[in-house]
Amino acid sequence: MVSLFDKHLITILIFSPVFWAICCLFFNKKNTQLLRVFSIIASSVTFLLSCLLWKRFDIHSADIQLAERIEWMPDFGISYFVGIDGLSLLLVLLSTFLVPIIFLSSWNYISSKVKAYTALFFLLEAGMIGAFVSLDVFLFYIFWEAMLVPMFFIVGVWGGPKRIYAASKFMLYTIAGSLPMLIAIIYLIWQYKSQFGVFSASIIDLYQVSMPMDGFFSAQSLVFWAFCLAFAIKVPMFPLHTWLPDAHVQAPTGGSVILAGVLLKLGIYGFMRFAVPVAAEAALVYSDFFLVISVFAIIYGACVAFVQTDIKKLVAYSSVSHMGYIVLGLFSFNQIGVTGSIYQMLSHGISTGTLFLLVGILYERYHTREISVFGGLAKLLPLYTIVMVIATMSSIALPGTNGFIGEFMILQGAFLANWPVAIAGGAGVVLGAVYMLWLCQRILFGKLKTPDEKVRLDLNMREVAYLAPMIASIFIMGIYPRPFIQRMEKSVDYFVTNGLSADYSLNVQYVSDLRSGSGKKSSIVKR
Amino acid sequence: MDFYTQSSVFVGLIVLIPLLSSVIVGLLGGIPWKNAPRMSGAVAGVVASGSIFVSFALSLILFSKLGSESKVVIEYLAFPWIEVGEFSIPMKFRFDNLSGLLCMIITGIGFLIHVYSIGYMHDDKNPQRYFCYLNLFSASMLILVLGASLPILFIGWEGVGLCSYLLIGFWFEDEAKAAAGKKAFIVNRIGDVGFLVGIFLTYATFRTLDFMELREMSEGLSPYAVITVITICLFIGATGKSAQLPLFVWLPDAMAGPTPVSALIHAATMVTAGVYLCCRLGFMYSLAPLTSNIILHVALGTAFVSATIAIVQNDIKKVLAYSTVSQLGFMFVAVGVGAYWVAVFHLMTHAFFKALMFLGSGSVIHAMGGEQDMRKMGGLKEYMPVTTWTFAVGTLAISGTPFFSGFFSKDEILWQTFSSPLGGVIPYLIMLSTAAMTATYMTRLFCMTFLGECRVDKKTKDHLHESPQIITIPLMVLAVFAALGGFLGFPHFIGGETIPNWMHHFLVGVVPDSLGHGTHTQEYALLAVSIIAAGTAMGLTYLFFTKGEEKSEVSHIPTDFAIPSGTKNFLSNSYYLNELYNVIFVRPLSAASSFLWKVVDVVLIDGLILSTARLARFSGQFARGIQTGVLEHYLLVVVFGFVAVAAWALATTL
Repeated sequence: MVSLFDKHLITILIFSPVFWAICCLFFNKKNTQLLRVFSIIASSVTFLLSCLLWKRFDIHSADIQLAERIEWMPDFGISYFVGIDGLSLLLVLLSTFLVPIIFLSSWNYISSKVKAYTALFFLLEAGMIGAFVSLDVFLFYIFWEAMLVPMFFIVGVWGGPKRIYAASKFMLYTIAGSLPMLIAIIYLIWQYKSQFGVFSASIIDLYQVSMPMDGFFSAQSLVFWAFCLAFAIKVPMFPLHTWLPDAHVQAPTGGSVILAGVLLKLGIYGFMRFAVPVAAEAALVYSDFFLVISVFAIIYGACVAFVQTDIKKLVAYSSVSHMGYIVLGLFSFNQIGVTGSIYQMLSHGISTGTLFLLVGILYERYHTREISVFGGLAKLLPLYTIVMVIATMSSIALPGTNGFIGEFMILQGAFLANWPVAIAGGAGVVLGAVYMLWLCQRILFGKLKTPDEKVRLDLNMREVAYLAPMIASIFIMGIYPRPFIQRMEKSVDYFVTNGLSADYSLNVQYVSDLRSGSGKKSSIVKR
Repeated sequence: MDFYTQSSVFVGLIVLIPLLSSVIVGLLGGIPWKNAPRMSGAVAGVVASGSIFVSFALSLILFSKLGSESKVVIEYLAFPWIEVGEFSIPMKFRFDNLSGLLCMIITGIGFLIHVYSIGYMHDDKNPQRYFCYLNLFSASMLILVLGASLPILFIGWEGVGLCSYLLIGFWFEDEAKAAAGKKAFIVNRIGDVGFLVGIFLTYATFRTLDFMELREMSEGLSPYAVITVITICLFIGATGKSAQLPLFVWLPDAMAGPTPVSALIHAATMVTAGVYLCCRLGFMYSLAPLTSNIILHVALGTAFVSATIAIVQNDIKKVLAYSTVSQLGFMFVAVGVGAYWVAVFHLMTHAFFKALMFLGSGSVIHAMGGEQDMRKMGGLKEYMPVTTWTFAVGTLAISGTPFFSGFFSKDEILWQTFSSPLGGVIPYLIMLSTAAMTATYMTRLFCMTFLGECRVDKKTKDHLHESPQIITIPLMVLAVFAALGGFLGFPHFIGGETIPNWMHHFLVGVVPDSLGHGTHTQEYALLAVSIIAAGTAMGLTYLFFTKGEEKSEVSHIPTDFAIPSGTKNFLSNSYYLNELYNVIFVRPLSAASSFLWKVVDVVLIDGLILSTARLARFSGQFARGIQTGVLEHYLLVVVFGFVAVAAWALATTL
């Protein structure tokens, strides 16, 4: 048993939600309370498992750690190959951290088909973890697409009135992006075969593929853009973001939290793990384009958020703006910027997640999200107001909250890379405060105004219970960011110093390598 | 524990204790937990005040270790904060002569204001929340002055901004008050962008953000462009926080907060943060003559403009607010002419007398049941003797009456403006006229509020009374400092060796020395001129109002200066700056945003995306038309297809 955990921790982590999903099937459909309790406990177990990753992770190494590999389709070099490094570790933890919170928040919100909802959410979690830890492009692609299905149903079944439209738009948009990526993946595998004589779908091998880069229509550039399209839609980057507001507004609270918290980050992660190192030259050539468009997204998202009339849509557009920062940090390609970028992914997951939870709480009470029907809630809901103000401060990057650390590093990094862009990005600092504080003022302050005079409930214990970890994370990550930064430091350093050269290569520390006769020496690290 | 370690820990505690107290008061008193006992308002007030007093005591202990012109520096490294490769920002605090002096001001005046607040907020529904914010503010302000590097200073900078936002909008049920808080925050944020860019550029240039290291690195540097840009960026941050042109519009609105807040945050401490920043980086500013010049002009403009506005305001707090803006202009003039220690000196004396006057106005407003219009006051001397006399001290101090605190600091600024190579005669004349205006509007305020006939309505009049001791004692303490505080910077040309200029000696080790010098005759002459100017202004205003009172028996409104109504409207609406900003920034922003959303997002992008979907549907419908379901049609196609393929095969083989 112990050795199983030693050797297959990541696999256990990926498939534990699948196991929970199967368990769900054996529950009585009527006994929803029991199912809810189960979902919370089970997802917490998965979170605790992921904490083992945090514990086992060696912060002094930039290698892929705890890697597991087993042959799957050896004829095409496809293997089940998973592992983590500083780029993915914290994102996995973010995913597993958010899921129990979402289950707790869905207690009353999801009242029909609870069993299906729970099972689908577990499958979604498995897909997310799998996508973050996959080191085989084929495996990655499978997880990447597998996530769509549960998300499609979560929006399409438990969503708002226009849920079918939103779910289809989300699905089609994403698939439109992933198909070019699939072509690029196949092309890469084929190129590897022609250059090295064997098939491999391991991303670490595929980094070695050399492709000509001269002009937009050269192979490397096309591969880069094919990956970029998929990832840019996921992020989403301007102008490919129009699926996001619809999906958010229609999705149930839990769907919105996971969408903003984790799914969008997969896009950025994809850039870091796949698009940029595979096509480093192209990434460098086009980095200015990305810097400019991300700054545009920061300002554009903030402006559009400013004029929204629906709270959830406002938060959705604020995500477009925040994701702009994250792309900005990534494409500054220096240690400060990329660290800030990853840090901001975590922060944004927490702060925007909290905001979506808060919108959900309001919706549960009043069945509307129109800003104009609310006012002066601070008088009626003091606890709610405190949490809302803290989440707002985190969102507008006030020092002492997690938002500041990421945004500050991103802007400092961007400034070192391209100062005019960073200064333009600074406009987001003002605009962010404008739309968030204006939102607060309209719904929290002034004369009391609610759509339903009878409902005067402040946060209950359950709501406090799931908001408390979010608030705690906001402050912990804002005041003492060191443990988080330390865990990404080596990998990011390695990424920015080597990731943009043609011969980028990552060492792999296997805990379990079950390939037969591959002829490759693999280091099995006993821990 | 040896001396150094102990002192070092004290530095940390100075910040930590108010912070902890804020959290405790907030959790136990501020949050309305169900079914849990709640800390009462009075207890919250005592805990909050106590924590500031402990901070004050610790500051005092450390302060006594600092010597004049010495370079004793006590550091406390709390923990490493942001560390990425070589980019390292430790959470480090540094207690030196400059930050030590500021700590004394913040905790000293802060303590008095906390105590005062116990009385002032006695009838409020939620004083716990108030004290939580006030403590958090004090902690942030201490972080601001003690921070050893720019980003740590920035933590405090934003922290005080947050508390200012929360406290201005403390009575959030009033939409206008909440809006004022929001406005303060957003206007400050505009300045903050400048501050952030300044930080980024500093790091890009020097690869460090620590003040001591920056100072060592800039020693021996000759002025060059990057330093000019850095200092300008940081000054943009200062214009936001310290309410200088063009960003001062938030400060008058900030008066929506409880009056003790105005005293502490919007007069004595937070708004002077910009001045502190420039003095802390005095070594850089002295390398950038261009920046100094810009600062001088902005500050002259601010001081003059806001003094003109203050003359026509009728709201007692608004007069004080514009006066604060003007006085901050004075401090920045000192910075602009390179007299950093004078700026700090005026910062200190201003903190004394302006906090005193704000608290005094609070006492008045308290007694008047919330009324702030001076036209409805008058003759309060009879009812509120302590408030009146302490306020009189403040008025005399700010107007520049000889030997009161403001006299020394203001005169030093005038002298430096005149004699520094960065100043000149015209800046001096502007400052002199502003000083005269200061004397005028403050005397007007005093006369309208405390002297003359009582215009208070009957109902309020019955309740008019002197405030309780918890309010008057802080007033008296502050009055002592406002009266005597100036002797800490007794001018050298009069005092010589007998009364040393302590302030100058104490600060020149930390900030660059002032540049002004001239003959004693000149100094005496200037002194005489400013005494005459201030005296004349005060005297004439006093006579005007006391005489005017006799004439205006009928209307019950005191005669005011005969300013043409057009000019008066222009001034009392603060030059229509708010309206101007609305037209050139706020409205275009919302119009552009609506355009981006409704046209670019919905019509252009989504329209394009959806049209591809429509294309798919259209082609599908077209193709469906072919699928008739009639077997003969399909057969016909098969036959034609066969023929075509056969023909092609034949054609190619032949």
